[in-house]
Amino acid sequence: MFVHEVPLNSTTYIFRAIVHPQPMEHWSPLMRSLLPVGCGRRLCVIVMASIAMICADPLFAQQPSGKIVFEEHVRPIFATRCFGCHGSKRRAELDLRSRDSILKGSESGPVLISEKPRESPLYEVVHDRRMPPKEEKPLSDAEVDTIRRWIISGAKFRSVAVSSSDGLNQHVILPILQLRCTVCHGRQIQQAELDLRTRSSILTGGKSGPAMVPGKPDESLILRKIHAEEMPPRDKLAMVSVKPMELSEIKSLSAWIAAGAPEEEVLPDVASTHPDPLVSIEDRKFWSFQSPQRKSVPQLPEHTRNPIDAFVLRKLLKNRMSFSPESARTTLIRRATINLTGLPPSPGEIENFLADNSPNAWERLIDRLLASPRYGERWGRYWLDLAGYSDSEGGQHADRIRPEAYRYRDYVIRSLNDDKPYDKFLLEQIAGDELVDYGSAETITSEIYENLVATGFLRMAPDGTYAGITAFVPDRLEIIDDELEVLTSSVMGLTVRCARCHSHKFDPIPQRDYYRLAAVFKGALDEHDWLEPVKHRYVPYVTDDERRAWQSDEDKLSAEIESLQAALRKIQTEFAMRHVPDAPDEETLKKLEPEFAAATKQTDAAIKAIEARRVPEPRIRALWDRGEPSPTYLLKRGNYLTPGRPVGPGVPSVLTNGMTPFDVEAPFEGTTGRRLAFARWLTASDHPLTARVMVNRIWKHHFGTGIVSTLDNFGTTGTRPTHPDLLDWLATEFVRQNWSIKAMHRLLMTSLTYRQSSDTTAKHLKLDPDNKLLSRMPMRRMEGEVLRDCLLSVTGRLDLTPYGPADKVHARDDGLVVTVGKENTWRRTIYVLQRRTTQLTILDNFDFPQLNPNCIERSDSIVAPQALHLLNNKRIHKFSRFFAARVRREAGNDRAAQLERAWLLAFGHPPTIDEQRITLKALNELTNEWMRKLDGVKLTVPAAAHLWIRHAKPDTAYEDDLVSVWSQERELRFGLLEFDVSDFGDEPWKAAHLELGMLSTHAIKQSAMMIPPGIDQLTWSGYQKTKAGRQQPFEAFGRIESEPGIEITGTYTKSASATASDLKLLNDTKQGGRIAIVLIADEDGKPYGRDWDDGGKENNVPRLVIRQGASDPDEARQRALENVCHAIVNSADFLYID
Amino acid sequence: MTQHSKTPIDRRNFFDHVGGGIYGAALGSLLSQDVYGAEETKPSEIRSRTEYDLKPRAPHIKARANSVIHLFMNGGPSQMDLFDPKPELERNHGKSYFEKIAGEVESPGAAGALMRSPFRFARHGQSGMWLSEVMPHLSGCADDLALIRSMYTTNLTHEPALFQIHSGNTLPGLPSLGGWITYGLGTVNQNLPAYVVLDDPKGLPVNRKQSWQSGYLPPVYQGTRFRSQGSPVLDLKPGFEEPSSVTHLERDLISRLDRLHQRQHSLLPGLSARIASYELAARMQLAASDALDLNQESSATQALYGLDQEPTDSYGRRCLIARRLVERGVRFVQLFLDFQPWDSHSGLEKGIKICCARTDQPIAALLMDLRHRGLLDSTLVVWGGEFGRLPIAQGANGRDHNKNAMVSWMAGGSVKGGLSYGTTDEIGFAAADDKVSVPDWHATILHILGLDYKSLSYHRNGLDEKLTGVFEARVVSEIL
Repeated sequence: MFVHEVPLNSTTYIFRAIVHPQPMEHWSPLMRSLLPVGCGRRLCVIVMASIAMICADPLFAQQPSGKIVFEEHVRPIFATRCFGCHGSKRRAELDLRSRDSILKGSESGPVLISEKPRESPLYEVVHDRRMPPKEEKPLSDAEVDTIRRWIISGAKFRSVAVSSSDGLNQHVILPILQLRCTVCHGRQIQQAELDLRTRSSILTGGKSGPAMVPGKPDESLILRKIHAEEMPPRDKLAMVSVKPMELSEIKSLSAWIAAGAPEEEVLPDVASTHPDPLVSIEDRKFWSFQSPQRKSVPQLPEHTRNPIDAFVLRKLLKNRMSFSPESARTTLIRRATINLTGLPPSPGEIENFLADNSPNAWERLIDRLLASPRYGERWGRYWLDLAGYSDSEGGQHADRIRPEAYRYRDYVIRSLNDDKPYDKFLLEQIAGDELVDYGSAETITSEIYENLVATGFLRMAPDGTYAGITAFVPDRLEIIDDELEVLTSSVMGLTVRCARCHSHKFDPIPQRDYYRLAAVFKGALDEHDWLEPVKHRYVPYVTDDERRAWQSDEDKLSAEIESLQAALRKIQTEFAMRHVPDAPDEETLKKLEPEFAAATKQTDAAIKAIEARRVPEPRIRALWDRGEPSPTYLLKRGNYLTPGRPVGPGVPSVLTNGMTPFDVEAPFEGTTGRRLAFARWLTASDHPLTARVMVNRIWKHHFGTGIVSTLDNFGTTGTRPTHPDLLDWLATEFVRQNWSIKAMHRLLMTSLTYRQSSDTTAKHLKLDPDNKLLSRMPMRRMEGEVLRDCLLSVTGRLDLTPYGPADKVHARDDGLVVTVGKENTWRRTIYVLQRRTTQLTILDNFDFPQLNPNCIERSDSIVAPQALHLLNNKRIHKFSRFFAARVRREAGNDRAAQLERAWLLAFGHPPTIDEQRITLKALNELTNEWMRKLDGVKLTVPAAAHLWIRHAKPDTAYEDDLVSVWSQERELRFGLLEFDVSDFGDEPWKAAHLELGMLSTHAIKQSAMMIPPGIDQLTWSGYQKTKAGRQQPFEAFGRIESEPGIEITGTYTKSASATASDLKLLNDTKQGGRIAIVLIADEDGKPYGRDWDDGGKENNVPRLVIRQGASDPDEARQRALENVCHAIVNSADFLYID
Repeated sequence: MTQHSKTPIDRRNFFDHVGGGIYGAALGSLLSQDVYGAEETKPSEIRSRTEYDLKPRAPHIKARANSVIHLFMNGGPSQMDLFDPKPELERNHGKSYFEKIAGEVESPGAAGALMRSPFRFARHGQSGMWLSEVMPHLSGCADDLALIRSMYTTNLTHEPALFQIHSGNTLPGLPSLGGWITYGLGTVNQNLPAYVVLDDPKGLPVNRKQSWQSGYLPPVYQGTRFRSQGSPVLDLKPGFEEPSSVTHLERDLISRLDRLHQRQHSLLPGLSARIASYELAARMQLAASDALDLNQESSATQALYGLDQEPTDSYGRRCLIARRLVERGVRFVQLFLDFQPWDSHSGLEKGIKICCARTDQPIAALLMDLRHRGLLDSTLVVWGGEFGRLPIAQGANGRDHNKNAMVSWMAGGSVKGGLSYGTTDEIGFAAADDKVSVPDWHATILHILGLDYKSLSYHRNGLDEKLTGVFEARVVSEIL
């Protein structure tokens, strides 16, 4: 069978050459070197034909003497000059030792085209002296000519008699067993004491004896079990995400055993002290692959505050430009404050800064902002974009929540606030588990905790492998690929992922580099030893303090429960005493003593409430090395079914000198140390990329565009730096300042470059249209989360409580997703649950990325839904009302003062004369209009009595004194409200609406209808029958919808179709000075245990709001101010940062 | 009754105001976009785009259709019970077959013997296309259909298979077909979203909103959900009540403030685009409400789609809305069903009948109506699910997932009507001749719209990303 496989494999490779979608001129020299010149579709057909001919032509068997034959003439050349790399090492997957292996080609395809030397890469590379590598002596002309003549004469081999066991060794078989068997017979589980991971363990066998008898497939237990279809057991496959063995795999296994189970020592492909043949010295000369070189700072006579200005100005002067004038101080403080904290400066802060006349006022401001805890929340978000942070798994419909992911988010925020050196920050995130021997630690210190939490960095990819059906090996490989993508795109600025299926087309990153990197992470990310995400990715090592606190809370709750139970037992005993000597059991006693039954019910409810306060045992979602990774194979074309050569851990060769082995040392037992070695290499002070990539990113977030504008691509297809000397100076300065990120902020922000005005002149557009020279500051739009946080901040409703589990979100039926706040305050967006399937609508509208797996740079769109959201969204409208209330509270009733205050809060500067004039005029007009439209004075009546209907069950259609109905698919709840309106006299109402107060925080849509009393049985049943069309017949009476946890105020009960007669009906229902209203609450499908939370708080008492009599000028003024505030948050001046 | 309790905002009045003077300049520029011809865009320019919008763009090649209606059939409709009759299956009913396809079965535990179709097939139309009795209405449109019987996919689990059919890749996070098309072509009607999703009021499909996300493409290319009842777009109408005269005054103030702001930064293009977006928002309020107002349709048309009748009302509404949207120049309309009703693991006969009862008449009505209005040639209607089903039984009377054969059809967009393209093997287990992969299918749809799948790319992470990924694709020109 293997004889036949040769041409088969070759065609596979050829197919790959055909299908390559990229134009050839874009291929790297490396790729081109391995393909025939001008290879196109037509040619590849010829290739295929030639190979088929070689294999089919019987003439090859009887080689006429005198001709050039591989074994006699060519192989000796290869043996001395090529086998070093293309022998057992099979560099680039090429083995030149035998006919078979040559015909298999290299990792990039066929290398030999019979009779066509110019089209045979094998000849091309030696002829062009590209091989052997430049460091070595080229082949002599005679040798090259021998090869040419050999190919031209038909590339003859002495024999085609190929042994069926050629190339058949354990590396063909073990990957199959990994794929199909080792989940039950491997590292974690050894069913029947059998381990199928190595040749020797197969020989040792398990309970039933050796699993194979070399040379005797028929007697080998493993094959007998497979042939009998006992293994792998069909009914268990789906559970462990394994597919049955393919026929071809069984045949391979059989052939291998028949051949005596040959084992060949093939060392994993790793970097050695020999020059790397796949990455040349020339390749390494590319700018970003060289360590940054610190150039001297240009000496300029004027206009520079720090070295940045010198580099920037030098280039500006060269282009006949200079810096723009400095921005106004109000502009500067808003720019810096939003830039560093994501929040607007407060009026007090602005005042202080304007009043500070000292020469270092600006520096002091920057220092104050850098010291603010808000800084980490702002800049942490940038890092979470890179890491692809998410509070849910994604991948599957269920989109399971990751309840402990927030610890990583908090780690990032804390680290930035603490100005943790960037090298340490990276070390912890890449290899925190290998920095601390947490397993042997007696106490879990905060250092251990932080290190483990940090590893959450590479646990963020969307991951559906918690369901067996999406957890097969290829699914797992996708997750691993995503994690490697997160690492390489964010930290290394390289597009390593391309090399998963083939050597990188543009950068000198051979395919094996990808798999070496995969091997680095294999101790923790092993597709053959997989940890299910929802259950198994946790470690218990929270700090002792946290654990104690949790335990103490648990104990307290248990004690409370215990005391309740004890009290109940006491009551039980007392009641039981009344029935001596019968000693009735609990159930009987309940029947006998209704009081005891009530007490039991009460206690049960109380216990249930206490249980609900319990929180799960704290734990960490981490990534950790498990010490014994399965071997890594290069996967041809990235296909898990075609493993190639084994590969060991290593780093991209182009970033090394190509002659340094990757040394790995386990820091303690039970871990491989691979990631630690990698992280130390990555954070070396002279690493070509690490510091550059990071300072470039910091630069981007201050100046709008990176010095290298392709943040994730420092390779050959990335853009070149606009200011290369500056980039390198900054990179070296970053390292020199102990990788301090805050030092970089200080440096960049105290420059004149940063303080320039954003005004754009005609000269700018002519000489520096794209601002590549930094001739001005760019004006920038707020990011989605900054917009939301700033809105909350100006309304005075921002809750600054940091850290901890994420705040819930509520997804309404119509798709709107909003946060659930507490007491009408909301936390910063970074603390809001970031679930992949339910992203906040405001973030969705304002370009918050879909993190699959991560986002290096967000896009900036300007679309109508943004305007619709800011104009029409109820929450935004509500924020403006809060904003207006605050303005009035702080500025009093004077209109000019109100505007001054509102401007300062929202824009950070007082209104200009024009702005004031326009707005005052609008304010007047709005007030007049409201006076015309308001329906009289607003009067609020709290409910005199209200009953809230509890859980309604199907079998108890009516419960106690409450009305409740069960419909087939929908659970309904009813409430009865009664209002005393006897004080209002007979004057007719102009309008009325109901305010319900705080609804429960359950993430379930609730709505209510207001129905006057006197509804007869017919109407009830009518409602029940027309569930689908439930607007009828009740809509006329109004419908209230709200988000859970949100206070309903000002919600007009009358729907669009309500008419004057509805109000009349309401007026007419006053009976004896009282009005009763029935509320119907419904929720879709799922029953839940609580209704409205009426918890006794003042604003939670339902209110009837009635309008009567003449309009209220004060209310009209307030409404007008609310409109102005709504206009302010909708204006460009708010959304854009100068 | 007081004034402010009337209709929340008198939108027409409001529009008159904002259109009149306040946003004058911005409106002028936007209105002119309604009539402007497509800008010439070379494929290579797409890569270097820096601003992302929905302006119409010229196709790479001559377009055969301008709009797409994608009738997505969630769950995996059964090819051998609908479009691909298999006499061999009839003959071999009850024979064991599991061993030959063990690795291709999602739930091996419940696998049974070969199972014939419960439905009879007959030839329809001049072309004599074989169609199952369960689709009597569509049978009348046989000569409009280009049936592809030889499609296949690579994953037999719903979530990844859905991602694949919508985005070309089994993983989440990639741009969907509709996103690619609107990225490539923009849209004619700037008052409506370019890519509209009409999901089922009864519930979202598997993968939920991720089926129409923009992935790494800018969010402007994400599908916009239109609800068939109530407010069609999120925040299209104010979520609070306010007299229209007050709203008008407030918006007037916004525009005055913005113009002051813009005067200070007259040379920044982003600011005028933002003012324009506010103007568009105002006009979308009108256009979207108008597009969804089915009362404008004659009762005959409403009856044709099965409106106000069960079980066709819901899907009929969406089909009719789809027609109204493409009529107004919306580029890509996608219809979903709740969850996955075509997932016939058990009760195959009943399940298929229910699905057909819901969709058969509305779909036929859509084709007839499009033809009647002369829209069928410029509209490509695409029908299909995420995979097919197995010829063997699952349990007593169901069929399990099958990635090796699935069926889809296209109509309109100058595809060949009455054509049955490709074959499956004799029992319908796997596509046999003229196989069509998911990338082929994507490439073909792009081609019909005048887009070359190799040129339609987005530069990211050093790669020119494409809908078809790194896969070789083939335009199925035989159906054109």
